Amino acid sequence: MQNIIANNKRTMAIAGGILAGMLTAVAIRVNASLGEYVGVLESAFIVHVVGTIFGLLLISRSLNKIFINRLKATPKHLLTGGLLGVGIVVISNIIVSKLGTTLSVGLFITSMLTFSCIADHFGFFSLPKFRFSKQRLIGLLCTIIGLILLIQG
Amino acid sequence: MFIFLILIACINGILLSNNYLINASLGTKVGSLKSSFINHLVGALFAFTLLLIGIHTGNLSLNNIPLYLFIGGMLGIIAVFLGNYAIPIIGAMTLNILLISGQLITSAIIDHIGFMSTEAIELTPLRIAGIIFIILGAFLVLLKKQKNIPAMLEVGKQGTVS
Repeated sequence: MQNIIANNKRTMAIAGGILAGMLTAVAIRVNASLGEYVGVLESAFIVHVVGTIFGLLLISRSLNKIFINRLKATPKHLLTGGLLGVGIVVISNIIVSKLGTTLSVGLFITSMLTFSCIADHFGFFSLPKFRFSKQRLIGLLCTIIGLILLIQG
Repeated sequence: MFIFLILIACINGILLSNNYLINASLGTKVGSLKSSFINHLVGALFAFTLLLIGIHTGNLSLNNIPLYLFIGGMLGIIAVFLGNYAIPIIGAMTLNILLISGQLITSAIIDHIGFMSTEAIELTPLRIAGIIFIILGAFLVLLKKQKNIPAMLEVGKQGTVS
């Protein structure tokens, strides 16, 4: 019985992961379309406002003193993610409108993987070092072949 | 023009990595969902400031915009919520591979049916092969990371505690 529950939990988690990816793809396309209506920066602004309001609804129950105090104790450079977020939505809006969703997502994934290989190799962000391997090289080459096929197709 | 687009797409990948790591790090302090909320709040204020000082890329008039175009920000938060739920059960590596596969396959469908776009991009066998190669490549890159992943997984786990 417990096994069935554990399996169900795992299936749910896998479905959740896939759904998260699907929603992200839809969000990328929708944001780009919004960008075509109002402009890419304006779209990034709206996306972040809507995300803020919706996020506020989800966390409203735990929006207490503890949270505020923890936030005050947080190093301020950890609050800069949102600055990057605006850049990300702006660039993605430009790219998706020009290159289509699949190629754009493929490019983002490939460059993310490449950067994380470099970051791992040199131990950026005080993460443990992880040397670049032959397997990773082959993996990156595969993604680049995939991109070429996408461009050709 | 094409090379320029490829170049800024690569820059975007670097921004995405940094954004992910900063949010994961913030997530260990305040929780992933709250971290995502702060991320959006700071982003909204930043974009607002840029608009205020006169940087415009279009016209921010909310008339005649179909309502469904506003759901992008919401979907992003739901994705964080789902990832948050999945990560302690299946681990960061599996989650990342699922995210990548789900994103690419959905994108291909979006392009194929021309969802919210003026022109459709047909899903040819060559494009299907391309998607398979990217997923395979991502799998190979992320697979060995398992040794390294405890650090990131721990980040996710702690992020879900509060």
